[in-house]
Amino acid sequence: MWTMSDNRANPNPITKFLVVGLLGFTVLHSINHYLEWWVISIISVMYFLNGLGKEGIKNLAVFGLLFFAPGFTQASQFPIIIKMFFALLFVLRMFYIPFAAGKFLIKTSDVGSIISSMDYLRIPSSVSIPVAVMFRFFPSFMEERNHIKMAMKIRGIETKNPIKYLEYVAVPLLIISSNIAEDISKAAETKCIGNPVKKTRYVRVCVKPIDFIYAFAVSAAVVGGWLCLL
Amino acid sequence: MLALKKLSLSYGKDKEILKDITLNVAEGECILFTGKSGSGKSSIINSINGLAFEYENALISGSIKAGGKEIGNMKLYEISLLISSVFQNPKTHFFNVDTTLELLFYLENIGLDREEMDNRMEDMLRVFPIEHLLGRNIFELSGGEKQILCVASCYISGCKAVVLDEPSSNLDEKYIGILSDMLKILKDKGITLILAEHRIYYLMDMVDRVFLVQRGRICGEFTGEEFMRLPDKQLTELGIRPVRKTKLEKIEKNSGKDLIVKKLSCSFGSKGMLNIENISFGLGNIYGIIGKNGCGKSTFLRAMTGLEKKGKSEILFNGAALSRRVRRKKSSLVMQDVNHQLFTDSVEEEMKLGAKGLRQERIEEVLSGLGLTKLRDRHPMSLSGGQKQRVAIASVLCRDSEFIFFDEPTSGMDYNNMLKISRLIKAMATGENIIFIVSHDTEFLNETADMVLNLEKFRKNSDMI
Repeated sequence: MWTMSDNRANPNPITKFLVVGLLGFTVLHSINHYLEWWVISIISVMYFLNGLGKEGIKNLAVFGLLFFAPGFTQASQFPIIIKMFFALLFVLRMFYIPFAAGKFLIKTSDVGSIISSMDYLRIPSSVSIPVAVMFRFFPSFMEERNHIKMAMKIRGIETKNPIKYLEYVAVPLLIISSNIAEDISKAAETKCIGNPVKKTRYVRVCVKPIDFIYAFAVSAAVVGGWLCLL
Repeated sequence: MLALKKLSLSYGKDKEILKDITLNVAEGECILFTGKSGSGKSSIINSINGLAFEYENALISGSIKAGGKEIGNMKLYEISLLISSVFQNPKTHFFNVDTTLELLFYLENIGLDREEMDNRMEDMLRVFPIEHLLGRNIFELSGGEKQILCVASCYISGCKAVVLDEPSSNLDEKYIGILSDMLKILKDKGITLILAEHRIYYLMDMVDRVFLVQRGRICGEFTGEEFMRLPDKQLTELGIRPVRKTKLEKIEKNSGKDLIVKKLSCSFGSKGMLNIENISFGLGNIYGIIGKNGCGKSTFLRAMTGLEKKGKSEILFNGAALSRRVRRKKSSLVMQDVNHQLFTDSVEEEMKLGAKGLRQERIEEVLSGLGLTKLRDRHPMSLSGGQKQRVAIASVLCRDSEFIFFDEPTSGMDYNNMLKISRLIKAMATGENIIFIVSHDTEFLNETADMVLNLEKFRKNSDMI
């Protein structure tokens, strides 16, 4: 077995996909507030265990901000613009928990392990390859976006106005995104990804204790959270 | 091994790129295509590996046969079973994020069992001892390490031919040496090498034949020895870089006291730190910033321009301390990939962006000086690579910044274009600014810089690079 960036505290992508799916139901049927914090804390702990402590803290801070923002009842007393702003925060909060789990999935999943997991679930390559390309796209996209931000800063382009910001950033980002997508496709195609033979995977998808712990802790919080609200 | 017969390639009726290319490549041979930028070298490479058919919608006539099979009738994966590819910029040419998985990816796709994968990996590591690159995140590798990985993955694939499109353009001297050694090993193993390159000195002791490409045609064929004997003047006229390694002629010294870096430090975690103390720069000078891939040149550039948040810096200009914010205001940067820094929808607007109090006469002066007057209303993204670079330079000139930074401005450029950029930069130097150029291009630095600063001596734990 060759050295690979493998971490015992990193659940396999199937578990992470299942957790995202389960947390997606919290948008339709909210859970008890304490257990919302429980879920967010689990995700932050997972970030810490995977060496992404900064992300863990950011996750807690963002949820804290959304959690303590006034809800619809309190916001109704404010002027219309402020009311709209708080309404937007409320909607963001509704989606934040599945979003946080999805972000954890993207940040900690390697393309190879995603393909292996999908092969394990017998998902056809016409689905698994585009999903893998999508996962591979994000880190390159972030890297390129940072370069654009750097160029904007040094050109003295103010980024406080979001509409103006989008106007400036849209063109280079679109061109670069298209280049990244093309380069990744070329990389894959010149490495025979289109070969119709039965492919083998060096990384074996295995279920580790962390998969049970992560899945069980989140499921317990979600089910418990629903029961508390009955 | 490979036969091209009357190969022509075009993008529509008016854009003919290649015309009547006929040549044969024997098994185990090393051949080189060289010539000016835009002469068609990369198009030959992309025709051979099939990318021109699949990705560029090129119209191709004539024949390309690899191993007796017609490339035009083959799927991309069938071509990839015969021919491996190494690209100019390895940055985005990896499919996996983990380096080990990237090496094994080809083997997984051809359906090899685990045991055979282990055997191939062991064999590759015996030939290229790159254990230190296994299990790493590709985003943490230097440009040189990425290119090594690309060549290693060609070997592990077992393909009998490798095409390489300007593989050295983003590499420093050390990694060009490593690349050269790796290519020699591949050649000794009987693997056919087909290269398109500007920088050719590192190939001269292995290349069997050199093809000179001009305006899409092969206008000269030489053996390696014949090509080595061509006079420098003739090569320069043909836009080709020297066949022998160029030594850096510029001296390393502190000069001027206008900009003083009293302290600049930045940590790279377990890979040591960049720690610069008491160096100074003078107005009106052009400084080349050199050092190995990964030694901290980009960090230096970010710190000097005030963009680096980490680390400590104490920098004085004319005796006054410069905060990060002030440094940012006084600096301009031309990035290696200028696509990152073109934001508006016309060349003229691009020049006005971020330039306060800019007069129309100055715009006209810069446009005319850089030959952009006719392009003033064009969208910057619709221009060619060289034109985009001139637009980026124009926007820098309009800002009249005290500190101007260039990041690898001649990467992948032929000799003539390199000279053009050199002339442009020299014309930018006035007694009111300082120009810094981060570059690996020795010929360019000899031509352009007044002095050089080697960052390796300020790097602690430089053996970790």
